[in-house]
Amino acid sequence: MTIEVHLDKLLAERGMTLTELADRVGVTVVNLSVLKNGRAKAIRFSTLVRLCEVLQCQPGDLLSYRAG
Amino acid sequence: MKARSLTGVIPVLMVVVLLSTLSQLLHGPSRTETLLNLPELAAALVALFLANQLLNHVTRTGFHNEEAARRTRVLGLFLIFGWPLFTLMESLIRTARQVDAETFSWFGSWHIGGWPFIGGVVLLVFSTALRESAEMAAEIEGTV
Repeated sequence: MTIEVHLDKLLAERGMTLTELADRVGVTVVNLSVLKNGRAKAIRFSTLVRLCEVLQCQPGDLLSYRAG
Repeated sequence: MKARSLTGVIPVLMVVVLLSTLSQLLHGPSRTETLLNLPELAAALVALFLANQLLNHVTRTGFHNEEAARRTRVLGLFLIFGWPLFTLMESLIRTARQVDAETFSWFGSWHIGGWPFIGGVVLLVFSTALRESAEMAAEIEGTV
């Protein structure tokens, strides 16, 4: 079971680059890359809030749970 | 005092101890007594060497990692188990020199040493705390 991060899809839909998103969210590109590639162990609520604000989405659009 | 400023102190201390022992062996009043003290001196040098290894690692990478915890544990284990072995060796050498069979006792003069043992236990406890903090640091590193 894993938590999948759909940052790639959301970025593509909004025509935004990872660097631009990192700037607007206020995190480093490295950290955002860690999140995008599913290597993050935890996400702060403050980061999630900023991501949802910038990408204009819900947490459920960004993250999903996959069993198995 | 920062750990970095201590890194040069331990090797200097080791050299001073070695030179002092050498001087006693060459010019001291009782060379035999100096020779008999060599195992405990060796134990002190090993402990200083391990402490130096720990200090060097900590100045490079900080305290909150697995390796620092492991090195602290090794130093603690040496103080608890290694130090008594060296003092036992000293005791055996001393008693082997006794010619009087009536009072002969292999472990008669063996002193385990309270402070190395207490220090070792403290270091083992500290290494457990370090291991916990290393795990926490690893978790925080993965937090976005």
